[in-house]
Amino acid sequence: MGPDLTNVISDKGDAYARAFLIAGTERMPDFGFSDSDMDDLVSFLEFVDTMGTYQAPSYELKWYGTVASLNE
Amino acid sequence: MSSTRNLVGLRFLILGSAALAAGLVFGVIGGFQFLFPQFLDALSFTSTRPLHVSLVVSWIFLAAIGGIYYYLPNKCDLPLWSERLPLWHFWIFLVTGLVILASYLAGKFGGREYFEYPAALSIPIVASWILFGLNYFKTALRQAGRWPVYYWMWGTGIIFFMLTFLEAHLWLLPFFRENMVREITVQWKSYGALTGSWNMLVYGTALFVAGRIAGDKQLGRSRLAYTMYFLGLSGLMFGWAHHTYLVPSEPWIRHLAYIVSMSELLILGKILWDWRASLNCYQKNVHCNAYRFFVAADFWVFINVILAIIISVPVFNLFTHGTHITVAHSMGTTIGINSMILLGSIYYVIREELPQDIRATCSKQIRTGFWMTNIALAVFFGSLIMAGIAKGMFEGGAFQQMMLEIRPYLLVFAVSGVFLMLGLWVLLYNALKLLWTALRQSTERQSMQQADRVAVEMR
Repeated sequence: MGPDLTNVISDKGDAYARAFLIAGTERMPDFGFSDSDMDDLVSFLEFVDTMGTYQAPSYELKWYGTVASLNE
Repeated sequence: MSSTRNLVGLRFLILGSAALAAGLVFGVIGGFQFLFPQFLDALSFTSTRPLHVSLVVSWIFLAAIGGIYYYLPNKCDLPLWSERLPLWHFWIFLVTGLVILASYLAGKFGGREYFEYPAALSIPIVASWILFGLNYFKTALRQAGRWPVYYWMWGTGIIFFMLTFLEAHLWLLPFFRENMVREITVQWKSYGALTGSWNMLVYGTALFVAGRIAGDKQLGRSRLAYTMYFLGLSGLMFGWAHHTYLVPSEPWIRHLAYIVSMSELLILGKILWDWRASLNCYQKNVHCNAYRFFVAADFWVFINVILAIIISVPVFNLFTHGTHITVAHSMGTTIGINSMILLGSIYYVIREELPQDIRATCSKQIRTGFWMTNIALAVFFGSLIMAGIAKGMFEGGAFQQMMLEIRPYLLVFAVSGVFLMLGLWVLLYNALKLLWTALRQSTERQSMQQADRVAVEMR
């Protein structure tokens, strides 16, 4: 159950994504990606980012159990 | 009496048990790597996860397939249409499986989630499944009169596995691959239906074995059983909606799918509950191991129904999606329901094959393994629920902070996973030993029968 990365490029920028990929974190090891691997991964994240927004930033919970987005 | 016809069924059961025993090791390693990313860094989490998933999913398929190959000729008086094709099926599956495991260990990927291996390796899997389907239908169609419900379930599971497995490879076409939303929609839809297809194989096995233990062939022909089949079929065709939560979908589709899926599980619970009440003391004792696993499956059906109903409410679903609660749901159903039913089926086969062997009846070791497995599973399941609640309720902050907060639950999860593995190993060790004995004795009996035939002909 990793973090959602759908909009990481537009939210944080590709330099931020590269920094994580190079150094790893306490929770994610450094996988030793090559430059080409890194370019491919960032390209993929850029591609995914163009597909839309993952989560509705604000919503309303209805008393009968449904959820309505307030962003539309 | 055993004959050549049942040997291949036993081979599949042995291979399935071995796959689960190995898959558990990678599951435990993955659980600790999730907590301590440097743990066994020679074997990355990107390898342990697909190794674990592939092996445990293989267990479900192999144990279900082995049961079908065993039950049709030996318990249903339906000799297999071909005795050669199951051997091809077995060897193609085994060799392909080993190549897939090797590709994961070597870090060679090329597919999509759950089928991360290079896509060309799906070709032999499809080929072996065609051999299985062809043999199954040619054999089952020999049945005179109306099919019992488990024949329909097995047949439906076979057809829908093929369709959904092919569907899971649609990403190979640029039309799907070039649009992420489209690709994910199709992938997750296919995985939802794929689960439905193996549920058909497993629930069919549950109804078959329950009927045989009770000596009640009508169990597989009851109105309730057929109702379950049709609900399962609609679940298989429409129950995938909740798997597409990542992409925009109409809420009513998701709600309808959950209702269908819940009714299916409730009816399975009702059938097993009624069956349990109908057994007398002798029947419970003769098949004490299989009985015990079926009672456990019944318990986990109810636990999972409660959880599934809760997470199907959109307000709760908003917080539980993408959390460990979803993992608890899948672990609860695959281990608590599917694996308990399949272990029950394996121990039923063992009891039938080795009626004189005292170890085939209830032994202290099997009882210990059973309780260790179920208690560990309860702790494992509970810790995932707690981690999921903590993650769902976590507000703001970085992913890292959230992970620190749920760390104690994940530690309990990883440790209980070790006990779960040990408990299942005890059960699998006994199953493997007894299945191997049954296979060896059957082979020896065949050789002696063949020698007798030659001797008679020579006279």
